[in-house]
Amino acid sequence: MNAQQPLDDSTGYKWKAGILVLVFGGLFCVIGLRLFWVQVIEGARYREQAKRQYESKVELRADRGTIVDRHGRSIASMTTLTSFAADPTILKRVDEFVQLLAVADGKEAEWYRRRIVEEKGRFTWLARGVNAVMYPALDTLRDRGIIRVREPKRHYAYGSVAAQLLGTTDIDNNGLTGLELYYDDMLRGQPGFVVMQRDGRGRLRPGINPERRAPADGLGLELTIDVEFQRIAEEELERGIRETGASGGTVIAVHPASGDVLAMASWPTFHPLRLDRATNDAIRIRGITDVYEPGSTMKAFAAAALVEERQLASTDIVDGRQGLYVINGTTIKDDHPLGRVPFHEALEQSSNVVFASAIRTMNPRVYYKYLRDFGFGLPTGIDLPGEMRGRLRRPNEWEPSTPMFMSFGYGMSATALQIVNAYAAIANGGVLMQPRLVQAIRDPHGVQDRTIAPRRIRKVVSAPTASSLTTMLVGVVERGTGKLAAINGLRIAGKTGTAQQLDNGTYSRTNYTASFVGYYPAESPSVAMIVMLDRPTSTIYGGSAAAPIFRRIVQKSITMTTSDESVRARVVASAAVDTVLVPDVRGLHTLQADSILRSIGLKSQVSASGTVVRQHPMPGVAAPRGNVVTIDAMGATSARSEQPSVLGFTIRRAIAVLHGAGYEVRVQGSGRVVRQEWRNDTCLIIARQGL
Amino acid sequence: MKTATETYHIDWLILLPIVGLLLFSVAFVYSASASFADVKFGSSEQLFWNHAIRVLIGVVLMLVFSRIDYHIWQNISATAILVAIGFLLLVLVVGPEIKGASRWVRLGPVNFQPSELAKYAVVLHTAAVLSRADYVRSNWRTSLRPVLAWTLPVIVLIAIQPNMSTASVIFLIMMVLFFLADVDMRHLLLIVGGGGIIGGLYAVSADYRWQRLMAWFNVDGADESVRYQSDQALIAFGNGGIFGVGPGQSRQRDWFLPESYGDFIFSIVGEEYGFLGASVLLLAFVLVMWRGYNVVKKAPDAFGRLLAAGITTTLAVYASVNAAVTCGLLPTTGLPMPFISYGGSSVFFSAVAVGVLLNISSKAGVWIRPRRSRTVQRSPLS
Repeated sequence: MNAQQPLDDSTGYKWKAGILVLVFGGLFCVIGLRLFWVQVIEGARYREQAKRQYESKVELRADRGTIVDRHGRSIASMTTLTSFAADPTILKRVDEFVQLLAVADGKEAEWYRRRIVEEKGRFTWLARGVNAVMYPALDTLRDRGIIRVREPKRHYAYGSVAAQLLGTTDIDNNGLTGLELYYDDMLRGQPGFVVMQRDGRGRLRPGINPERRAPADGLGLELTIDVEFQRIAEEELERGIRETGASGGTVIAVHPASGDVLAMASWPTFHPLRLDRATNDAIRIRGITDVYEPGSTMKAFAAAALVEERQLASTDIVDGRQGLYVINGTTIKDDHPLGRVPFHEALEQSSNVVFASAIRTMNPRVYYKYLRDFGFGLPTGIDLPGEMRGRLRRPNEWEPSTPMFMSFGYGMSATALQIVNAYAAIANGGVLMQPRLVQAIRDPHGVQDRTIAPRRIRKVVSAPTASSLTTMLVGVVERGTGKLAAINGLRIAGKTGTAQQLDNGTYSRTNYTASFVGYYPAESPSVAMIVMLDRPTSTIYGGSAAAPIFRRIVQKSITMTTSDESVRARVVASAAVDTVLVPDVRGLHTLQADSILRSIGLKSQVSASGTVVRQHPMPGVAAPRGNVVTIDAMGATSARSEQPSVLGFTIRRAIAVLHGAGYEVRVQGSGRVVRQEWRNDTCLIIARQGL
Repeated sequence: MKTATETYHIDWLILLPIVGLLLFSVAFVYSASASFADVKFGSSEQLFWNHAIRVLIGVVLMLVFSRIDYHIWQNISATAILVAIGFLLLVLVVGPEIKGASRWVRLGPVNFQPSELAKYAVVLHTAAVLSRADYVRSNWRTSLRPVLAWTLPVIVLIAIQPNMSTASVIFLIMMVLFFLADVDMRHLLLIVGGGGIIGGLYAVSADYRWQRLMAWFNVDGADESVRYQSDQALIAFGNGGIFGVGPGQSRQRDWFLPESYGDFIFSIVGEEYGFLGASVLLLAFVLVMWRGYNVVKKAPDAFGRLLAAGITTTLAVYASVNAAVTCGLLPTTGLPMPFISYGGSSVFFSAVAVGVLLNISSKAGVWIRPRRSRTVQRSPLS
């Protein structure tokens, strides 16, 4: 081969090009095989991975069921709060937006503007949990850059009323305490879902035919509670506790014939929206969780056993032994010594001696049976979580002195609910009912779904015995230790109780449980109620500490608890005046305000419909039932009216009220309004945190 | 044997697959880029229109260059190399850094990628030198020195952009041409060995290349984001299955797979058109490759053979390496898939190269004009 000859024959190329075809062909074959492996053989695995990546199951929240009282008044319902965020890169109507936010959320407009301007990314939170329905301009402001996140929240129309009973929920819609916990399965509903498509940046969008299951909203509860009765019970309990210096207390009212719990108040209490500040003490339902040695209120059950067993009748003469009874080394004393008196008088004066000596003659097993039948030592079965059963020892564990002490309420323990329920049995002609809090279940639309029938537990004593007991117990209020519970024109059967509390195994000389339990009207009882105070200090006796609270509650609530017009009239006449506190309805819609006012017995006079900006009388004033509250809506009058006081308001509410009244507003600070100053048409409000 | 009186057609089996790939690439790019373009430019069609216009220009360029006698390129190979070196120097000085490397230079309205010009300049120059009359295969001075003197600077300039993958692919293509041109085996081994060692050292000298390698070898602790792209590409393929999820139905393009319209577009094709669609695309490249080497065998002179071999090898290497990368057979590189990936420079230069290849094919007699139309003398392209 000539070395200088340029390579122009193509023979060498032929096999080399062939080799290249084979090399690249082989390469493409390998790639093809690899594709076959990835796409066909392993395809399912990758598709699964892809699906996980693309699809996101978004939960559709079910609304928690509404809780209403026995008259259908909504106590706990769902509202929607809106949280606002912005995408600064596409937000256009910044000025408008920050002004509206300032009004609704309470910070200064500049604060929001800074958050927007200084945000480098595409998302910045601006306001959390705004009740946007109240600010339609903000709610409907259209801008692609405004991001609204709506979240449901429990709304409590009566604030802290019945807070412990209703209980609490966590942010995930789980009931934590009270009825919210006990009926959680019904209230929570069934969350739905929708399968959303997700892109690599985590943005979600609905698919074309998204897999979806609609949420089933929770069922509603119709309580046996009368929310107005509950409110009065709470108010009077708190007042009584303040007056007696007690550390806590409970009031329970039961409808004897059905076991319906009309009110169950516990103090201390908490506000359901301020759960973070609530102590354990405030959250628990004392009427079912706290057990006490009841004291003299137990005498009614010893009396019932003695009468039913025909060992004593109310007029039989018994011996009070001048207040001192010594037997087998046990000494029993009375504060008010009695001689030979009729049995009913021994009850009226609450003689320990008489009851101890009388019960000694009774077979312990028989006495035990009566106590057990009245429900002591057993849970009542009320529909609340955490009920205690108290302590009632069996007769074979008894010492000879045990029944004597038990006859006046020592050596055993019970919850306030057990005691009031046992009294309700006497009021109910001797028939014990299971106390209950829910009388009907409502469907998610608020229509009654099914009612729950009252549950009779057992007949404990005969009707004549019960009636005889009632007569004796009326005597207690009319002539005996319960006189402070008496009301002209209403026959109340009741019994006082004053019990030393056990403190490290010995009876304390300073810590007492003072109680009054009774029922009325005695002729046909519609309410059985117990007032129990824990460690009152200014006066320790059930007759002086608890009975007045009982009386005031009866006076204020009589219109709700009896339909007998003459009884009503007499009781109302006996009470000072039946007043209600005027609620704050400013910021609500007039329709809503009207229904709230009417529900507590006030009338409303509405000048124009819309958002209420003024009301007269002002909130917190005690007004006689049936009085008229004038409410003015935004824009009702063009002229400015009196300069409204917004002291104590949150800034956003103050601004709403002042704007509504036609004034300009300038804000200093944050929190609640502590001072306001007027300059012509401008109101300067100064706010401070933590008030 | 061909005679001067015989006229030949260009090779339809090269032209048609290429035009097909180009046209389909418009659909591919649209689908793959829509959600990116929507966010980036506010219009989901932004990249689609860019690409469609480039494809149109590309087809025109291809047809124009197929009518230009390829022999005229032999004399301007040195100029092409000089121009390429000039641009490569320019890009090092003024080029904007995109993802840590300077690979583009702004040329009027378009971002021009000089390495695309450079690879064909190297092919052209190598073919030109190795087919010169004074070429002696065993003589270093007449054979490899004139080639390497010009091409090595080009490769080095690309490598320090840094764009290691393009540099090594150009080196590889050059080696294929040396192999075809019967270069002395000792010289060839020396160059391949030297290039291999330098390239190997270079490969591990930069962190991102090291990470890519480690990710590919599945080493623990390798940068997750490097692994992410190839994993997402595999998910795209797997999600496509046999028949694909359908045109425009890709989900991986929605921000899961970065650069889904660029170097990784093949996986979107695999997702939307399935194993069948991806196979057809690969077969189109196999067809072009096979017909290209057929031109190599039949080209009338050494320059034609080497030029056709260079162009064909370039297309085959780019297509196979890109496909291998996207389906996880090779570590992640920055090589586009010719005709398919979004990118102006790649489309233009590939189209021009195929135009030249077509012109060589028309001189090689791979597609003899049917007898009855010989008298008509109608141009196949008019």
